[in-house]
Amino acid sequence: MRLTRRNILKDGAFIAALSAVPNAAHAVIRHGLSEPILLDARDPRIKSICAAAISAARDAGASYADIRLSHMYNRKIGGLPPETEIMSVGIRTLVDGYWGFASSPIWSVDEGARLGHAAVRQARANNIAGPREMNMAPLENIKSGEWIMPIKDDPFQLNFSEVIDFLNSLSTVVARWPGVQPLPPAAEFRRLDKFFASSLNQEFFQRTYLTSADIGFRYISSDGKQTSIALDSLTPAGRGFEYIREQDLRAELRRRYEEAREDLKLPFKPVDVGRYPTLLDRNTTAQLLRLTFGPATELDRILGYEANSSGTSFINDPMEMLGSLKVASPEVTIIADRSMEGGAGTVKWDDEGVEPQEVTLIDKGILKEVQTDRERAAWLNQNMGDKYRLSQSSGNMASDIAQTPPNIFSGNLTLLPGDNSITEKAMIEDMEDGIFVKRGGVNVDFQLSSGIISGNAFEVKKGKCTAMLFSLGVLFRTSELWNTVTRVGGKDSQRMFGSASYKTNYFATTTTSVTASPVLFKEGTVIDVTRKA
Amino acid sequence: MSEIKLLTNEELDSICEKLIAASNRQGMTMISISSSWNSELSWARNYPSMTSDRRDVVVFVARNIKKGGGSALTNQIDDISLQNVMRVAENSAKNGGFPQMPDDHSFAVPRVGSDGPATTWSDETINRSVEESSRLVHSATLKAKERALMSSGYLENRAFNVLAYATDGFGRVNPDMTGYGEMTQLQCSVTVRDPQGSASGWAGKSSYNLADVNELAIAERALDKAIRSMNAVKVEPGRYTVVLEPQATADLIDQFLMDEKSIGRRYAEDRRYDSPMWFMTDEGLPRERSKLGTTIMDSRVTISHRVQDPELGVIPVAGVRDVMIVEKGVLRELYTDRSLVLNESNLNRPNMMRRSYRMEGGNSTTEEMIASTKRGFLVTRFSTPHLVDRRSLLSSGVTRDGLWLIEDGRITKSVRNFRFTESPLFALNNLEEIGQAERIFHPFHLPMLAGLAPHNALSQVIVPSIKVRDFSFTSTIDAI
Repeated sequence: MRLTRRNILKDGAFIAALSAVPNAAHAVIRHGLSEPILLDARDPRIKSICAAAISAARDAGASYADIRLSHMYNRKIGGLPPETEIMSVGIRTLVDGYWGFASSPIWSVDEGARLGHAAVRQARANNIAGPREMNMAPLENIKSGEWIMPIKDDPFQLNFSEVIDFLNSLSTVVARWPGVQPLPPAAEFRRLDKFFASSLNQEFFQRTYLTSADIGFRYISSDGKQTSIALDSLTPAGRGFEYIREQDLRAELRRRYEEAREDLKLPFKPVDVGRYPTLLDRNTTAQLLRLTFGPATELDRILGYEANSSGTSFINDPMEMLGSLKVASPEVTIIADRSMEGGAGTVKWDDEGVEPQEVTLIDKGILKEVQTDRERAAWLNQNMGDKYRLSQSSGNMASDIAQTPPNIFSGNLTLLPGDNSITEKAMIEDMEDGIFVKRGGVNVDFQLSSGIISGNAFEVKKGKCTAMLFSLGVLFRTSELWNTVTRVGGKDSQRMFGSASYKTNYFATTTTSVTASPVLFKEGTVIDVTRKA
Repeated sequence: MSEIKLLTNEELDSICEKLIAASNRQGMTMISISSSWNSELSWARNYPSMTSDRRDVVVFVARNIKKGGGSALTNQIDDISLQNVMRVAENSAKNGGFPQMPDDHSFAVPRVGSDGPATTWSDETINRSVEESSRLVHSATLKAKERALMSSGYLENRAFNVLAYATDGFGRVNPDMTGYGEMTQLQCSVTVRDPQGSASGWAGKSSYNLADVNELAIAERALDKAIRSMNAVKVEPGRYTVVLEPQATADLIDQFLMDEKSIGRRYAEDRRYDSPMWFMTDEGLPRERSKLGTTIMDSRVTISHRVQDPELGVIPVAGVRDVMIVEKGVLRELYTDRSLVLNESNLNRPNMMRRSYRMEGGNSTTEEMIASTKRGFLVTRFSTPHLVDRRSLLSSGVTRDGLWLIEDGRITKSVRNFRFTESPLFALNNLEEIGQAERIFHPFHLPMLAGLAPHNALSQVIVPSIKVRDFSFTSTIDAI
């Protein structure tokens, strides 16, 4: 009999599995205060799901298996839906050198065993040309642990109305200022519990938080010019509600209001194409860093694993380039660290049970290290041996929830600051004839080797912003541009910006932070984007 | 026993009944329950790098009680979770503060009607085994390996079904927003590069129906393009005549067709948004006008989404109607979200933004367009296009995976990639020829959208190759 969809579905095993969900592993959406902690690493039922999955995978022939259970709880103000709960379980297996993965929303021992078998079937199907040699970098000896991201105010212990009132009070304040129309405020809080176990007897539980908010207003000047302002101090961060509460947001809003008023007083003019000293504010610098050196140093991308989706990297020969390629000026040192406090990508263990290590991607302008997982770290070991500092993974495997397989994602990036006397204001004052880009947008090519910066820009003459420029674009080649950095802003002008990152054909996502200060480039190629070739 | 990949209609019904039973029956209700299955095979460097089987369920509940809106989402369908998700939605509706009934394209109107079979489902697509996919991928990579080239790619089979249910404020079922929908999708794309990274070719296609997608032909085409793109030379940027393959056409016009701010009525009738479809403020009437009814591009351009277009994947649903976006160059319709229609208190139905569309083709073949070109370029596809000026839809991006110089009617050289700065509106006004329309690669990832309706989850695009004069390439780039 040819199976049709209908009689396949009638078998009903799916619903049978659903009814097997253990009682404690659900029912977490509660309105208001103090929900129960769902994912407890000591809960024997969680461990039995992991044990069932791993032993099913091993029995079916997996040489390695790991399992992740994730419980994501999201609260949004001003967005849909206000409350979200997603529970997932995903198992990854290695069979004859090939990876297989299976995931579902069902937390039960039976489902764990089914997923173990399914993941092995996925992996085994690829063994057509015979087994493939595949090594994974060694692990540290730590086999188990629990970690809760340190925060002060758990947003899930607060009354929703309290947060709404707090945000509305800011709108009320700005509405009093002349020419201001407040934009509807929004905020989002995420709590993500993850349990990781592997066939190497690892067991890790961790809880992370992510908090962000959108607060802004539209300003219309007396002569009809208008601009929209959104605070960029509230991008996603690994913090609790204190991230919003502890900032002096009224002062920040006032500062942005005054700034908008001053900016709109300036005349508007088209850009004069040419080469100019170019100052990027910290927001634009962070974007530039996030879109160039961040993904360019992910080793899977370098080796071509992303060739069919997001692209490759201009760093295409790591064995030759690491330790010698000059990709930026000596002012530039960039580190990546998934364990930094408050980062949007901060974790205690990555999604294959590795404690992240700080890596120096660029050291005084020289390409030094790259971001890896265990598989790609083993490749480095094999091909570079002692010439490369790390024999272990840098701990960059990430996937927000267990529903998708983990991938290498850039860690929290930091551009090390320059001397503290270097501020945005000081750099503008020192500029004779140049361009200042404020909250610009960056677009790069699929090899991260070139791109264009566009957005809000100002003409700077004799130390002052003299006009707003429309249709400005700064064309760049990544290495060339970073090699022209002459000054990097000091620590006081640094800020951390969080944002989502996407990768792979199935759009794996995660969040990460970039900490940057304003940067002055000796020469930027300025074009008028509306004037075509 | 075969595998169970989706919930059945009966199971979706049963979950819906439990949710209704858990509600306090006041006010308006919207419920959407969906289940999905994804089978994915990624490969790189000529071997499979990850193969996965993923299943999920999404339950979304929206409630509107006494003008307060609230909603909640979960992927758990045990009794307690269902009761909780309803209670959370109701509590947040009662607390008010932020009215939140979904009003965008994410919650639409999937009711199965009786006017014909759905053509969004293919048994072959959901029944293809991972072993079969692997054999195809193995064959595809072998040919690249024989030529000492590197193949990478992605092959995905997916299926998705949804039950939507809605009541009005009096507890009556809203038939336009209640029903069941289902779909499958297969998508395949292949990139072939040489190990030195000096040549690259790409091909891809997606459809709800496995029979429309020939994976080996796609692999062959990517390989051929990679071989033909070797020894690329630099050519000065400037304005050139271009022949855009169908994929490149879609990459360009997606810039506005997939962007609510560019093609949505809400934005087109408000000067604050700088919509390219905003026309002017009408001094005689207390309103602003969009460009509806005006000619915005060449008269040979017709872009539509017809509900009964079998190649786009027909979902015979009541409440979803044909959309004619551009007819013979004239802007005929703008996407209209539900709240806009409700605010106008009339009986118009909303037409949410669609991810599927067809641009009518002409009679020329790509070869004929090349033959009639004195000097220009053949473009495989564009990458990372982004808007630099919304009002004119001016976009910037780069060419990728195959660019060739055309001289005196034939392809003469492979060329290094360019950055372009061009507006799809200008390009569609500078049309010289239109080729035959064909199905392209237009993947759509199913995010955890609240109440995703099936016709929005479908992403079938059929577009022609086009020949455009004066296309603006602003710089050469190093990326290959």
